[in-house]
Amino acid sequence: MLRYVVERLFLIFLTLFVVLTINFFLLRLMPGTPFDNPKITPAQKELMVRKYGLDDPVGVQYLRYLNDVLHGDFGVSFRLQDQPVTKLIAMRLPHTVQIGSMALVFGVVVGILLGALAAIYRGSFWDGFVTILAVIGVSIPSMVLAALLQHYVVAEWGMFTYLYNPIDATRGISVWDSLYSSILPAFSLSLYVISATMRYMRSELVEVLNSDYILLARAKGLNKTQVIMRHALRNALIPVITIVGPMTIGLLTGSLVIEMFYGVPGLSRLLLNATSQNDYFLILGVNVFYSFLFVTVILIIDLLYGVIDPRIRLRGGKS
Amino acid sequence: MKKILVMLLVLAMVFSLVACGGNNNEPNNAPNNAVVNTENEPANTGDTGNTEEPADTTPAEPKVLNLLESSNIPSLTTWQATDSVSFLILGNIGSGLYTLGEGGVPVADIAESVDISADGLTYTFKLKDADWSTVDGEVYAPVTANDFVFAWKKLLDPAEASQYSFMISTASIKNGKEAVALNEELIGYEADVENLETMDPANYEDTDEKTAKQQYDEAKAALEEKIAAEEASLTETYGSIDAAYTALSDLRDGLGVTAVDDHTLVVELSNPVPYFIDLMTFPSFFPANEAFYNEVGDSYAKSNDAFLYNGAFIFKEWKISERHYLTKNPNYWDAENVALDAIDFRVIEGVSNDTAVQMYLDGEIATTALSGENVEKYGNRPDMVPLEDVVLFYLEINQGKGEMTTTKQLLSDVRARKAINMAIDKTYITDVIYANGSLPADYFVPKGFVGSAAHDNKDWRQVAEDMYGGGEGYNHYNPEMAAELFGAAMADLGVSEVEFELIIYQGDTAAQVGTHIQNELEKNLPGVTVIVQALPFSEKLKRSDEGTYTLNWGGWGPDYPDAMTWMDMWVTGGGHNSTGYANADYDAVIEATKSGDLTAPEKSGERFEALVTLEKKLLEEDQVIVPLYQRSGVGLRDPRIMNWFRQSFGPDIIYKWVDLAQ
Repeated sequence: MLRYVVERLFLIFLTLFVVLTINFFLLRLMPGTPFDNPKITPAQKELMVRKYGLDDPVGVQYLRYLNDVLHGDFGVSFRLQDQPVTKLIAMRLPHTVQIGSMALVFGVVVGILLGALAAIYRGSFWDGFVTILAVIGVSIPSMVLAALLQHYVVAEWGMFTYLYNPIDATRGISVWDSLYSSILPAFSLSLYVISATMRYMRSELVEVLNSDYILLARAKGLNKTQVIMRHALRNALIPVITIVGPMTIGLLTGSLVIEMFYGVPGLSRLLLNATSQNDYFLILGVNVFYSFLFVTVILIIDLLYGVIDPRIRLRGGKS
Repeated sequence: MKKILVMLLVLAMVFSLVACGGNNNEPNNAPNNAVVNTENEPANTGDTGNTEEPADTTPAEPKVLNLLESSNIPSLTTWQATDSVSFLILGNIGSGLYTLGEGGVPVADIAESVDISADGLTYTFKLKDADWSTVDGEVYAPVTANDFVFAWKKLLDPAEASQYSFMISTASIKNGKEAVALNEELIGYEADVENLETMDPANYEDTDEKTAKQQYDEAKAALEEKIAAEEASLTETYGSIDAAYTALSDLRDGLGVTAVDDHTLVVELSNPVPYFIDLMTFPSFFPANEAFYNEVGDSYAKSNDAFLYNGAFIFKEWKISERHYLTKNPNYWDAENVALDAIDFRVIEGVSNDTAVQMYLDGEIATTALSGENVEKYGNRPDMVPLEDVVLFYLEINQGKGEMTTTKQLLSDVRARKAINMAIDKTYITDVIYANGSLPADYFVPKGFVGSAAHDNKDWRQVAEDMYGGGEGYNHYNPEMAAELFGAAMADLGVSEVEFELIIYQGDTAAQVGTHIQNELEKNLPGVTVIVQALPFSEKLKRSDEGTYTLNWGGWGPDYPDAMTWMDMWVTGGGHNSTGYANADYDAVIEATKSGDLTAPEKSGERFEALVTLEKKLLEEDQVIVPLYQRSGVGLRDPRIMNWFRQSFGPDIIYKWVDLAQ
């Protein structure tokens, strides 16, 4: 097990290195420069380019950047006061995580419950209801949903807030106020999660309930609840976990549409601004960070498989 | 058992709904129809959480102005700042010699008095007793004359690569102006030398006329010739290239600004500058405390505690992408006349106008601009305010910048350029597309921007009207004449079809403007095909710098309140002149009015008229650019706000003056 983890960590490191390298060179192909103030003359632009060492050969810049990264320095933003990239990411992350994790927990729990409901009462009203809900959930664009929620829920019914409010003591916004204002954005994000989880849960549970061991368990005299709780659910959860991984990434990296609609100072807004301004190191930093999240979550999911299903436990486990 | 599961599920759903709705006891009905009260009661009814108590409990309720900001601050360092958000904050947390008052008039801030020599070349400022405050409101040190010397020299410091160093040149400060010019020359020379080293024949491709080798050789020869000329010029003036670098360093050190004592600042100019005092309101000319700068080192101005405040406000909280919170500076020299206790900017990057308007209607912010369909929707409310502006948008016509093409050749004929101006119905852009009070323009110096004391304080456009009937500009809309002029130019060149590349800003409204121009040109000018390209800003800028465009939709806002900020853009080889226009007569007038004999204080009327005449040349005779419109806007503003003076350059608003009726 330990060896497996170490190997995976090495692979993570390698992946990040490749991502960083490809991104570094690709970004230099972007049109334009980070310095686009129409008031400054070409000579002054040249000075800026020199100040940040962008006039050196790209190879030299790359080695310098690698060296900095190995020392924990991911560079500075050209456009925001030379603020360190790591600081900018760290400032945005909590907001994205707050909303993303709310959406994930709510979405997965509701999705699993609804999926289970549909599977257990297959063919009933609930099943149809859940299926329709799933179709709606995957097909409504989050932009439309966000606009509808803002119009009806906030403007017409006077519930919740238009905008996400970060925690702010001076302004009198407590943790609870902030969480309260996260509900709409989180809900907008979670609809897709609910639908996806629900569909997987339903089909898996239906399959599991039809398998022989369930019949055996029933034959042993366990009642239906015991069978579902002890045997069926656990087995049906494995494929669900497979999709939860990528969904987590999606939620943690944020959704631009949701961030724009609810004024969330999150990561995707940062990336968008950085991209439109050719803020190289910031784009690089965010991309590498996204990749880091991705590979880490995949590792965690892989390890979780072992916990849920002893059959898939890897080298070192009892076979 | 079924029941238990169903119950659980229902409970889970109900719980989540209840949890979501739990806090809601203040329904906020149909804000779209709400009428903002024009009475003297707060528009904010307490549901936004920014005021703790109702208005009538204590008379000492803090006056907090709630505003919205859609961008972060790129820089708080006075010699690094280049954008309107930075200038807005800097102009309110810092103080220079002067600040902008009502009507854009400079009002003494740190300056106690000024003595200007008769030749207009020496300014001796006496400073008030003022203090630097820390973020915690403690006095750090007094503001001294040396703080100005230190900050101004930073503008020229090569290590800082200050983008706004041209302000030193604009102010014509002795040796500084020369240093900026020499620096530009040396950088241009260095860049050329580097380009020569990295020239690669592989970058050239064979064409019908020339082989790659020929093109490479030609380009190389041209560059070598240019470098030789640059070297010759530098050597002639300074003796050698190395001597030129030494001279540059000497000029920087010898910048014409001296601290005679703590309270006396002497500024020497290379030539009289009629708008010098106005320039002193610009944040690039604000002071900075050297001891503090050295104390905090690299972190200077990167956080609010690594900064000192000598302005009316202190930057109490700086939360990137969340909040800019300014509180009144108790150590400001004029603190007793600052009415606001705090300014609270909610920062939402790229916030949509719909959201901003909604926040205004809910009483969360005190003012907002209106754009798009919100102009029509809310433009009739009693709290609507016009937002007059002095930003002018125009089309640059490429008449020869970059590689020569048939199109550029055609456009080097003034008839073709005039035809473009006459072919576009600009009222469609202002009245139909924007419909927000923007003005169609056949002129370049905006209405209401600058007046002339020597002409009974008449506005520039009125003087132009009196002199040349050019109040509304020159070469007006005239499709028939346009077709005629254009046809003649085409015939002389012997072509029947040309292609125009029109580069425009991105966005829905911009696309409408682009399409309109495209339609008008294709309809009114025979043989023209227009390709519209909406580009990201930096790419658009690059294309105009390189000259790879035909028409470039640009905009310009003033840097100081003098027509020169508009007129000197079009000098031969100017950093902002990407049209390829080169006219020695034009350059001569700029030279005379910028640093020559017309700058003398007693010749101000003559100078003004010379510039008005130059605008006529720029447009009527040479049609270097096609003016499109003078931007304007409308907004909503809480009627309780008083003394809201929008400025045409530098910081948009000086909050020192603003008051909030209780």
